[in-house]
Amino acid sequence: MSRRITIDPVTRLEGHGKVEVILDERGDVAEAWLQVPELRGFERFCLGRPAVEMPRITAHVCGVCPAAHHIASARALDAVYRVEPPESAHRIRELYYDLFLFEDHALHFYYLGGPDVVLGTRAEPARRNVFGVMDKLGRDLGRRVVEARKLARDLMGSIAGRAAHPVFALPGGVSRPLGPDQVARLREVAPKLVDFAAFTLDAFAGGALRSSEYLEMLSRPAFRLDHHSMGLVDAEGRLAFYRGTARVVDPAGREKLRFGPESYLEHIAEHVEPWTYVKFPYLRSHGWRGFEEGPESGLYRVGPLARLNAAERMASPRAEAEAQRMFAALGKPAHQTLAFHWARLVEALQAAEEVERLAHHPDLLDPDVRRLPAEKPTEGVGMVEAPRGTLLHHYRTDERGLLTMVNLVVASQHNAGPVQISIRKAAREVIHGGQVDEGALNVLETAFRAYDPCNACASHSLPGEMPMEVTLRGPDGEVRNILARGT
Amino acid sequence: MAEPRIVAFLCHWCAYAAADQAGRSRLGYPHSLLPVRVMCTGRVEPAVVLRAFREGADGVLVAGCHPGSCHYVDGNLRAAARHALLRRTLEQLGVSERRFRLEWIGGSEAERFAAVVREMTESLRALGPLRLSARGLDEAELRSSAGRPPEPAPGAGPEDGARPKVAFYWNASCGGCEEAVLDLAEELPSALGRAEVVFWPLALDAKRESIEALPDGALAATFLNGAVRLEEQEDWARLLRRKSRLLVAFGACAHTGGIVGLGNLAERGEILSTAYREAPSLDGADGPIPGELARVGGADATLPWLLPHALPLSRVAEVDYTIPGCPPAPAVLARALRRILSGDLPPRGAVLAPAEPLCQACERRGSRPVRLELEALPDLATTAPDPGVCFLAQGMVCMGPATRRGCEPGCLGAHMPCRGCGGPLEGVDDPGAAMLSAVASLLRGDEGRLGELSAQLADPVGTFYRYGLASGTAGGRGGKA
Repeated sequence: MSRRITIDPVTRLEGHGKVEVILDERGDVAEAWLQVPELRGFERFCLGRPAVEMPRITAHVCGVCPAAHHIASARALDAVYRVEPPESAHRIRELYYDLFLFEDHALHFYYLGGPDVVLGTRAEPARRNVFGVMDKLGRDLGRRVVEARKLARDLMGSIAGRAAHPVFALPGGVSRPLGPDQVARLREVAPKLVDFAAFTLDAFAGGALRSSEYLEMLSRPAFRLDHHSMGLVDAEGRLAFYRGTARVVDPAGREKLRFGPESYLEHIAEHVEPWTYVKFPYLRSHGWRGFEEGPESGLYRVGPLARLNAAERMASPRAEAEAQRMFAALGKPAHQTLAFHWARLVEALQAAEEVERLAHHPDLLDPDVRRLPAEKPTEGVGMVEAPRGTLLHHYRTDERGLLTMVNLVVASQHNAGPVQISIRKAAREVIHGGQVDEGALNVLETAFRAYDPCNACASHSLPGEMPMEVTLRGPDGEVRNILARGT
Repeated sequence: MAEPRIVAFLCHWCAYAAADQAGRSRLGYPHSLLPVRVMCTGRVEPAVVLRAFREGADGVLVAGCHPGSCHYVDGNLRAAARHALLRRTLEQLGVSERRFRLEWIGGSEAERFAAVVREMTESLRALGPLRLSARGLDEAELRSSAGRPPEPAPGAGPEDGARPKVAFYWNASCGGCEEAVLDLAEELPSALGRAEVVFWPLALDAKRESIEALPDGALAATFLNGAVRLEEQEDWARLLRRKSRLLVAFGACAHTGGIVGLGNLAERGEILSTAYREAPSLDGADGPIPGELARVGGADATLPWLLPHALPLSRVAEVDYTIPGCPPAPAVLARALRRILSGDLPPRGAVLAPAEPLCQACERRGSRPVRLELEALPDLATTAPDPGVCFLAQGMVCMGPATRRGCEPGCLGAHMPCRGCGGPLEGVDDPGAAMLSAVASLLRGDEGRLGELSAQLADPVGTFYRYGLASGTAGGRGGKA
């Protein structure tokens, strides 16, 4: 097989999911790759900046998940300055973060990935969007979606300063306590968020789960990948977004690793391929074995489904019941890639329930929300669960707190290896004899959109749009066909 | 090389007299000096120094009265504080400190003046030409001149009963501007009015060809966010300019370069080596470097990192209106959309946000003393700011005085100082230089103490140019100079 990978100058569009397919002599798929032709320079241009500015600077890595970068950065700063925030500050950060998880997951379902499962891969592209979902699930839903998002975003803005790029986290805590009005509003809104999350799960069950096409897709080999799963858990093994240790389970669900942020380098390494800017993390214990699945492979998945697999249980009661329902249908651990959508909604429910629980915490108005650092800054790692998976910020500073090293391992990166396999499997299933059509494009797209790869993080585009292009090459590397969709 | 060009800002009362005397005494010093007489070195704004470099100076000399001899009490100490801060700013931008000198030269020190100029000229000759303006910052560096609209823009208002067509597009950005549009929630339909969104990659599936097929000027308005970082984005900007009667720069990156502009502090090679050679999580420091190998394998296939610097949209295409902010605040955005789509517009080129500085909307405004003097600069990392007191009065840099309001409550509401995403006030080209000057001018102490204080502001570029580096006078870091 020719391993000649080229980057076609015609198609280097920022934010493109660009798939290269290499055919063998018979026109079947020998290899397939997804390329990310974009590199963020953040690790470089943050050098020399004061570390305290990082929560605000790195929020700009991604306008879709700025909260994740903001909070991961704040956790890294706590470590850099060796200061443990008061519990009151942890609560406010966590409350904010749960609001964000709820909002982001709900957004994904209605606007971005949900259309694939609600409408199916055979729906025409013009209908596979938020409007198509609303047509199918009911017009009234549109208003509810807009309202739920606004409720959550307004609260996020009121806590973090701005809904879009938050500004409130500092080493040792947050910049200001909550006020009585905010707490009253939180208590008023939280039940609505829980209702909305529960309603969405029902809608999913109604619209997709009972659809034979979704169930058929769930069981398709192209959409199944047996991998390790990683996610944060709290001390009781419950799924955690904000604080916890990383737990890795093997494809059979057995715990293989548990580690805190400070030791991530002992367990995770990154492999570089020449044909994409994305680095591929893998487990050091297994070593790099290429793009292979199974228990011997060092590749692992992160994100909603992997988190549910890695956690012993959910942190809130209704979400736990929903998780059990999911695993009863799919088995635990679940490896059906399209179950990411299902797991995402279970997580949205946990996030909403947690907002409600925290909103009623008796000490929520505690004015003491920051412990000032007393030690010289050195080095620290922050690790949180972003909507799309584990997010790591690792900083080293000089004694004035100016950054001398920045390393970001973003959520979509952990999944980059598994995504390659998913693409290859899907391509092998749908491309034969050199023939490829629109339906094949849909299948390929669905295979990687399930991961909700955040191209705003990886390539500054938005996940839902995912304009894509598939280049088919013969064994000699010559271009046979180019299929494109999107801008 | 040609003689290095030095622009010298000379105090009327001392250094200028010394220069005059040196000339009359026929003391030998290089004639490539361009003297500018000022009444006091305290009047030499950092923006002017930057401008001199931008216009081709290889070095800038500021020379005034010895400390204690200023005719305006302490104007020379203001100059010293600004020099200390600006010199470090320039260093961050790759301009050697030897190119920017401050000297105290009394009126009778003609010999000393001549010696300083000779020495500086020698030192600049060793450094070589600076060519700040050649760092890919100028319009001339781009492939062609900014595309002009096909006809005088008639405004985006309704025409002939047809629904006006609008487009949203993104260049180098984070997606936050799209979120800002979605954040308008139930207000969005009314803000859009009768306009029909015909192109928006976030929500709609349409190809570039469908835009190319439109007659020029067919779009009533295009809202374009993101900085211009790739050649491909330059093309998009020009295409959308041609097809649109109004081109609107949407958000801080399109307006001033935004955070993307901070990338101008690094070169492509440095970014690659940080990512693929130095990152501590790599499985080895000798693996492939993606861009380079891909180039070898693919002939002319270079990776998309082509423009030497990130640029604000206006450097590439003529911008009719700007909606500032990172991202634009909901109230600003809703009002701007309504104005654009209803044709209720100020003269072209306007920024559609309140013209006042953010300070006017700040609850701490009353706490700022009439005469502000700073003897210490606390670090936000280890300090809890007093929520009732002006950040500047507490010695913490807040860009509020140099930034448009409209974002409130925003950062200030969260008890955090402003970082300037709202962009400059009317008539200010380089808000970073203006704010640097303002902060330096507040520092108090003798010359040594001023040096210490300004050194505490450890990252002047990241502080004063957080969102505006790409549109600042210097624009970014060049090669070795």
